Amino acid sequence: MLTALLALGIMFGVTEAAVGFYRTKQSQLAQMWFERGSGALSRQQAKEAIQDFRNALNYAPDDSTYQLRLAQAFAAANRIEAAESYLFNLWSSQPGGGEINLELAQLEARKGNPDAARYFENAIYGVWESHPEEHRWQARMQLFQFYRSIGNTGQAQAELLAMAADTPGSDYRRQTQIGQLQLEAGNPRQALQQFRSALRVNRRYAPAFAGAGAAEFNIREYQNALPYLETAVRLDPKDHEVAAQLKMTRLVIESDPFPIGLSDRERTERTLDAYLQAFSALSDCATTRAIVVVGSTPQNPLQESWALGQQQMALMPHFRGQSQTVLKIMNFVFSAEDLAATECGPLQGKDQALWLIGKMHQLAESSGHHGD
Amino acid sequence: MADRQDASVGGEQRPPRGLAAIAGKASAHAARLREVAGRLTVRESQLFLLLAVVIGLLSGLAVVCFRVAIEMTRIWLLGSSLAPSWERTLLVPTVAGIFVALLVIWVFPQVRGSGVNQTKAAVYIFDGYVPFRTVIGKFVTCALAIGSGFSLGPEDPSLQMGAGIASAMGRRLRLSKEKTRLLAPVGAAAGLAAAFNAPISAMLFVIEEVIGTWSAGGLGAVALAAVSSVVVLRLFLGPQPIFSVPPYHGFSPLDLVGYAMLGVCGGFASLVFLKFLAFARPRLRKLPPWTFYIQPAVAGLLIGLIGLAYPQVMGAGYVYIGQALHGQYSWQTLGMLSGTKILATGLAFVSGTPGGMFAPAMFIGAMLGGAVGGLEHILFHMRGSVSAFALVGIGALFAGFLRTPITSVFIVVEVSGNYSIIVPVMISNMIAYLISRRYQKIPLFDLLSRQDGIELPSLEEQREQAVLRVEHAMNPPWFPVVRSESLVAEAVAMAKSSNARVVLVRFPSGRWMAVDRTQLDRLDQGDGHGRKLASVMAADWLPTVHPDQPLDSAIGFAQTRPVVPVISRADPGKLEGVLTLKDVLEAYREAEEEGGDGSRPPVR
Repeated sequence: MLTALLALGIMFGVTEAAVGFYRTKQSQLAQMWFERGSGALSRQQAKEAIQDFRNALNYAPDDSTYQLRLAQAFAAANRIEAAESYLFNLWSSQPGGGEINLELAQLEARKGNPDAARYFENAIYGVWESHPEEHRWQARMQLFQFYRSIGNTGQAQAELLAMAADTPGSDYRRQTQIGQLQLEAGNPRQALQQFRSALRVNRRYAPAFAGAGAAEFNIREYQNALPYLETAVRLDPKDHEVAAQLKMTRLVIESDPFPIGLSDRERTERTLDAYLQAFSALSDCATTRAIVVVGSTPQNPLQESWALGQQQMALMPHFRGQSQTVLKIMNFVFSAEDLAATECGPLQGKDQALWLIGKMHQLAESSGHHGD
Repeated sequence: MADRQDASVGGEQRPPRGLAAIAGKASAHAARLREVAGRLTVRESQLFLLLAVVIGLLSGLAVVCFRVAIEMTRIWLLGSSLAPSWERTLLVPTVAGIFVALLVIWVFPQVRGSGVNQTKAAVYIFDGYVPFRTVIGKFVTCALAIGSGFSLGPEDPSLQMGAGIASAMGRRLRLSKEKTRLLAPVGAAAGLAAAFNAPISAMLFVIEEVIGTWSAGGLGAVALAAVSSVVVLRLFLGPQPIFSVPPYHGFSPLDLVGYAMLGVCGGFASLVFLKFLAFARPRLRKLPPWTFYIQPAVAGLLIGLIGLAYPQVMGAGYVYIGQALHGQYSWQTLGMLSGTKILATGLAFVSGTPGGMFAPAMFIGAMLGGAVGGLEHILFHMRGSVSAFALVGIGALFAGFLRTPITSVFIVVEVSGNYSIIVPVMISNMIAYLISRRYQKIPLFDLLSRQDGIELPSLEEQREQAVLRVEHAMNPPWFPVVRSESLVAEAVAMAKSSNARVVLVRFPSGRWMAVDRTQLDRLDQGDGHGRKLASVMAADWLPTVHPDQPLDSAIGFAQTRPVVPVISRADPGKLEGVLTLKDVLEAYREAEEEGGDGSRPPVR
């Protein structure tokens, strides 16, 4: 028995040494393959990354980081089932893990599975080893995008509001980002608030100026949009989209015959210009559609509108900027531009400006605030 | 202390004189010797249990070293990547094959094969003797073979190493032959438990395949050894099961149909594998002896060629089973992997390269299961995941190929740590087992033994042999029965009226005696007249049996008694029938006539 115990002691020592050596080797190899895999994954080489992470996992089969990276590599290679398998396995041991939940959520979202929302929520409230605020914010952002992609605008809006509430007041970039999302979601007033908050922190942040301008533009407050857009273009002259919006804003302001304080002469000129522009739009649209409008009996909307415009011609000799006449003529202009947009597609330049003025006018009328 | 007290008490007595005194002393010494012998027996059985723990620890340490050796050999020879370069894939197994052949032929001639039937042979033929050289040989040759990519597993060699360690310990401690014979399965269980990190399955396998019965004296020792070895393994290599299995979310009744289909596929895949071994192994063994030097190398080259397309088939393949369980392969790839693994393992094994069949069987099962699951997923939109099918497939191949139905269920549970899969596993395993048994009469390990010219007891056949029971031989209670309170004259009258040779006497305690007519007549005519039977009969109780007891157990009683009462288990006072030696012999004769081999019980 003593011999047996001696043998046991010797064997224990030998095994301890062998396993120690093996563990060190395993650890080195696992780390080496993991680094290779991470490099491959960052270079978008998903296939190579899968092989490298598999090798790493061969030496450290229970390492959850390696498993997660392998799952990410599978997801990048569009091998959803394999990725899910690892993620569900990880999830069963760490159901509160933020990164695991986010990865699962992204996979489920890719499949259009409504369960994705649950995993996004888990990620938002889950455990993150580093930068938890940042990760949670990003998770909520993705949840918002998921809701928007499946057409659940109510939940999307709720997530945006939650994101706005979670964003520190000093983070002007994120405020701007939320503003842009609000704008995309069709909430220009909330967007404007975000942009203004951002501008309170940084008075030289072009995207916030551009966003505020766009928000005012969408609210149809063109006079208010103008200074924002001008500053945005001044700060970032290369942003052609903002420049185009600024140009349109100016065109709207310059073409509008309704502002208070406009001289009769100016009002008359703007109205007449609009009248001629409307005829031009109708004519161009009719030509595109191969419809003869001059001298024909009205048989379709374009011909009817043309005829209506002809009737307005009788008002011109006595027109001196009278508000009722302006209104009559401009009503024809708005309906003609609307018809041209409906029949022949999106308008450009001054036609679009007149169309926008029409919409602004309708809005003002419906809210009881006439410009004149 | 008690002895000393007895002696002092004896010392105070007056010493006896003459022959009577000597006889008295001798009797006292004999009693003391019997007592000491009894204590020694107790000590040996206690020592046996302690030894089982030590064997478990040593086997566990050996298996840990073995696993490390295999892995380090693989890293050293094939590189650290799971997909080695083509040069290594072809050259390493070929060159290693030559070295393995030289070692097997010149240094360790007893290490050929898997190790399971060698351990069985040690138990049944060689009184538990496994040379320690075999342990070293198995360690070296298997580490080299498996580490260089031969498609074999480390479990069966671990089993044999455990048996070898146990045998060496038994010899060193000069244990009795009986105990030494029992030690081999103890060591085998320890080795296998450490190899699988699965003590229950190892115990079950040893019971199902090596010992063959649950009632063996060493069962406690087997359990202790298995647990000890697993403790050591977990201490060094961690507590996690061999495979990390994705969560399994139950099954629907339709899924069970799918798992049944997997059982069918598993059964036939097992058959292909078994038939390949049955066909190729004896033919290669009949080739000229010089070919034994190159057979492993040729097998290594062929495995390398397969490995160029499917490197997964090289080595034991645990890591790839894990990948299959995580759904990393398409069903087509899984199908190809199961087919190529059968070929690669068959080549490695029939070439005489030492190594085990457990890991390859699990690999083939996992891949086949995954393939079937993937295909059913596409064709029938089954809910069960590919991973679950892969896991169930492991059990199906285990049941069909190794033919250990109980172990096959528990092995899946233990290696995966997943209990919820057990119902599909049972269904699939049962079907695979039945198919394999239907078309391949001789199980794998018996087949290998017979190919080697050794006729070991087939434990599967033993398990399935129908047992003749008392109920098959007994007759209705035609002997007259009297109560012990009856008068002797009443018993005589009853015996006369029934013309029976013997009368059964029932006592209120539920015990029985038999009294023959001559004795009754003598009592009636002598001092027993007018007295009750109970007062005149000497206490010579009859042994009793129950209808469900094996007939073997009643033979001894029937030989020494004119009649043996057969008593109901539900009502011990109720006589169900009687059994005589003639009835027993008649039952055996009828069974032989009807069953041919005595395996079918007679119908009465």
